[in-house]
Amino acid sequence: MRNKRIGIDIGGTGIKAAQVEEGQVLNKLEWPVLASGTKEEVVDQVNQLIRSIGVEGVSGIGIGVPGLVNPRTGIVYDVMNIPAWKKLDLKTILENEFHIPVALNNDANCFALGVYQQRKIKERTSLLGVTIGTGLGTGIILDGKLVSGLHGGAGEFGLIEYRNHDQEYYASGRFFENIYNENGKRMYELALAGDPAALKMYAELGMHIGNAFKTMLYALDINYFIIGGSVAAAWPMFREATLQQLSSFAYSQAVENLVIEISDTADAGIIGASALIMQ
Amino acid sequence: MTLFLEKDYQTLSAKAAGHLLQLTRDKKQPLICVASGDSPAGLYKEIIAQKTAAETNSWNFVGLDEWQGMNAGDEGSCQWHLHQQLFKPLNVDAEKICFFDGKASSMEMECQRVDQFIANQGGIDIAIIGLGSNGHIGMNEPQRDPTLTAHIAELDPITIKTAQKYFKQETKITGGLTLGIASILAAKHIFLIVSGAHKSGIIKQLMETEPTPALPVTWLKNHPSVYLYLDEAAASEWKKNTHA
Repeated sequence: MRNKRIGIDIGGTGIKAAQVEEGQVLNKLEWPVLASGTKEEVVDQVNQLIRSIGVEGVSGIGIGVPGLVNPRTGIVYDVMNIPAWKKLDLKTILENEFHIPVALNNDANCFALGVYQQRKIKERTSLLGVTIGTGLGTGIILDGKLVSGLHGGAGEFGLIEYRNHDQEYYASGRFFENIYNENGKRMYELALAGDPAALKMYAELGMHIGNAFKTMLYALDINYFIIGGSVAAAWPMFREATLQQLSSFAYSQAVENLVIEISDTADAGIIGASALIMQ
Repeated sequence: MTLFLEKDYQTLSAKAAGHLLQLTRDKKQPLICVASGDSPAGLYKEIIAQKTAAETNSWNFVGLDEWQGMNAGDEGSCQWHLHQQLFKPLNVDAEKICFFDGKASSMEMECQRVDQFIANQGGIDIAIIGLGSNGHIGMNEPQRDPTLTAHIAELDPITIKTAQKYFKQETKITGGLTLGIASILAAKHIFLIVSGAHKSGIIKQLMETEPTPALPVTWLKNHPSVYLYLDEAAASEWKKNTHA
């Protein structure tokens, strides 16, 4: 049976949405700016996107949000850049509007589910989707199932205390600004041009990411990491430093067997969100 | 489609120009497909204002469409307008411009010539287009074959009537020459520029209709890189719908 669903990926700055059918993304509409202002205005923006990509023949709507959301209740608690969404029952609002099931989860969990779906890998595979962008997010797929935890907070490794801040203070795109007061995009361009100081910063970022990976390995012992997010494109610049840091991991076999892949598709978040309906 | 909703026409034009200049920076000799009409006029003005010294010197241009029986020498023709708005201010060499000649002896040969120019340039990099209130893009009217490249277009009465605004006196329009839907969809990026309250109805339809020959602009929905620029007035009907 054909099964068409809508996937929505709410990001830090904008929203992407599309129909997803058999892994194919259709009618994608991207709105790079978030409506500012009231709770209702942003909900309206989501409504408009859903209408515009079409609900006819759609069996459900899945939404990934960058922030705290309870996947069991569909209540959004705190979202990056949408300060008005505090304790918003988005699931009920949208179900009343469109009369089809709606499911929510955080963006990193949607990313993990998306890359899992895209790869059409064996059932019961375990993988870790790691988004390195303005934050450090993780989605856990264990034995083929997304693990969100009781309240949606499972795998929030970025928030674990580390040095004098948390992991994502050091192991994300914000590293450059936090530690060196430099613009990350500019450092990327300099590193591309071979600038030694920028490359050294990337090596340091790679070391912190290696430490974050160690924490993930100690917690889950999963041997398949897929990296996404805006910093993933710079992987060649910090790869060596990350692997170097991992070489001191206590269970050396876990590191020997570790596969790290870079996700190059922008649609993983949409595909993963659409797959929430089946989870 | 990536949607840029701006407060007014000027802001929208400036944003589109910024994106266009950014996208063309990676390309040695980009081919830009240009439409005449009111919608892209602001974008052309902004390109002229925002470009740095020699930035546009390497650009090649292909005209989207032209009225039959007219060419650059006819005041009001598509090419005439583009000369005023873009080619003259940018000082573009004649050999960098390919435009339908509506006075050519063979319309069929003229279509082949334009197709060949596009192929020789390695395809269109950016197609700048506007939107007719019946959903046409270029002179591709509703219910026509979307698989065509450059071809002779039969025009709907509404298009002929609306076109009078481009001429000083009443002008008889019999038909047109246009790049087809297939030519437009083969562009790497498509800039669709729509502004004003009089376009709000067609924008609502575009946003809420699956691809269909009844509304040629909807073919753009499955192109991987469409930039849709709207001002608040053009988006007003579509936005209103939310609380209907």
